[in-house]
Amino acid sequence: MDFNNIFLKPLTNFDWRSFLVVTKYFIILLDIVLIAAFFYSLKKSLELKPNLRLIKRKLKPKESLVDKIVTTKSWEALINKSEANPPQSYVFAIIEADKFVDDILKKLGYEGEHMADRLARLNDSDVKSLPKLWRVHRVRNDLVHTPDFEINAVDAKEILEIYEKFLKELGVL
Amino acid sequence: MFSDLLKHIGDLIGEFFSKDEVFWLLFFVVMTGGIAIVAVPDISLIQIILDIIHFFLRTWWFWLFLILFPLTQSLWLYFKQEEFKNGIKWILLELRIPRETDKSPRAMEQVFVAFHTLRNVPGDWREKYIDGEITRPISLEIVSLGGEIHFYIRTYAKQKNLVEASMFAYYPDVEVVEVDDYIDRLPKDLQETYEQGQNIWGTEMVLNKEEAYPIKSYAEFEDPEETRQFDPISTFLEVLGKVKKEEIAAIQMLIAPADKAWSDEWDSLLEELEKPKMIDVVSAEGDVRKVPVPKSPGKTDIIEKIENNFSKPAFATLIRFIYLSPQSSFSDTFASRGLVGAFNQYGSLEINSFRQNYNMSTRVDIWHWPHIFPKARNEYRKQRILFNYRKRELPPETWMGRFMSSHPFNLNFHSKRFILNIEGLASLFHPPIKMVLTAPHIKRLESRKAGPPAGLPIFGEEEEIKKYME
Repeated sequence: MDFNNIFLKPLTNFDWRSFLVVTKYFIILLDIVLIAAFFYSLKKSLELKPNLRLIKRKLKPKESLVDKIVTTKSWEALINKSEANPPQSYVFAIIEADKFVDDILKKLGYEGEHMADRLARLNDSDVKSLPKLWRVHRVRNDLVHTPDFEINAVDAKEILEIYEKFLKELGVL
Repeated sequence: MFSDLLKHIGDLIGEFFSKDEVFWLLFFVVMTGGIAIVAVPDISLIQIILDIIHFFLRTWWFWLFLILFPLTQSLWLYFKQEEFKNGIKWILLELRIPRETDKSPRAMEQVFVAFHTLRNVPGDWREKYIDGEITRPISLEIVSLGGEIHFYIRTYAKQKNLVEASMFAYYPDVEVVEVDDYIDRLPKDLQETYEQGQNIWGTEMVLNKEEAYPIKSYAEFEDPEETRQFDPISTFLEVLGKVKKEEIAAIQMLIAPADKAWSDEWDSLLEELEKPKMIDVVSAEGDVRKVPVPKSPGKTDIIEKIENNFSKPAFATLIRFIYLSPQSSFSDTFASRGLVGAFNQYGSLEINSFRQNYNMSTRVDIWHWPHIFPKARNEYRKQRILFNYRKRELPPETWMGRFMSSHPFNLNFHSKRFILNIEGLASLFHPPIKMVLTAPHIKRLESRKAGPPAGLPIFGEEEEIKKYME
């Protein structure tokens, strides 16, 4: 009898339904607070999180430094001159083209003592024709330093084309 | 990370089902359910599913709370801790090392004991959740700027005096000078690195085995006889000294004082090791008795080393290094072989050793999981390691923090800290002893310092003298 009175009575008399309803609304209230706190800290965290985005800054020449039209014209003039008195004119054209590229690199702000230093500052993945340019630059050096170095028309044209491709990739032509 | 998680879950499930009781319980449930469905045609499967949905519709608020609470707590802690980190004012101290130091690394160990007292932890609810307090790390750095080696300590500005004092107490000849941060000479991000015509390699180091096993300490390189004295730091100096003029190689050790009771976690491991091995011995009468086998001297030695390891305070350590070099002379083998190799000295097969944290190292190839976008992922790793090095970044403590600081191509779940005691730390970072002072690369102090004679009369007003007493 005592057991019933002390333990079971309060349990059965207790209004479980309304207790549950109160708990439910209390937790829903907590849910709302949590959602608010979650979005607040999400906003804050997005501001504070490290920014690792890789921005591909393209090698863009500054318009004021390198005028596209002027460069294109002078490059065309250089190519035309190469046809003037073959095979001698090819040799001069290659040497001039090399100087041309070097001047452009200087204008674009690549520093270094020699052209090779300036080229070393470029990145293979940015300029696809860089390895080829290294090759023709070496050919040019051979031309300058070796007496009686001969070059035929086909090779010369190919070399000039590589210079042109490189300049186009830099965006100056 | 996800593969690890899946594997872990798989293991858990496997373990759960491998128990006999679970099998019989499941067997019982399935059999009763099956019989019920077959015997009582009124119970349909769809009805059961509908009931479950109904149950969740009525109690969604409870489940939402259960999911939201840990997520919000974790995210909240992350942003508060980031704010706390950004608010700390740091200073960089350079250690100018004299021509001659005859101090053993044991002195550095005492310096680290002093550093350990600088430990701060959030003491109450407010400090943890409102201030976002974390244990402030001290960064020990050995940096080679174009072949010239510098020793740096970066610390909390307010602790400058304490750091200086503890260095001075044990190394009176070493000069501690506040300097401008060399970090500003490093490129800001990967793009700037490439624009300067440079490339970068970097990695982090972790321990091969459990932290309970110590690394080989300086004591094992010491000997009373001069011809048998070595200093492990000399290998670092040689490698760093080989760095060319335009290159930078830098080692960073971020140490945060750990709890004094750090070894409690490993008590069971030690117990397991100490348990004698039992074998069955059959006596003449045919009784089987269990008899302990005496431990081998090697095993006793390991136990002794572990106990010695536990006896000293420790730091949560993160070791990270980077190597910056012009594109033309860049070779990651120099850094990976040279610097990682220098860490190998501290390794020993029966105790602990260092290895690269391969998930942080900037060498990704297609043959490793997850086999996709190796190039892009490598670029992001380079970006991450440079960013972390520049910021002397500790990995976020919370899961949401690691998640938030991740990038689709570079999840931030791999950077790992480990506990290293002061003896191990002193072996890694100390002013080189006399034996290696022949190395010509360190920026050195050219004169020796000596204290003033005792009882020297001091003239001046009280105010002026106070300046020297600080």
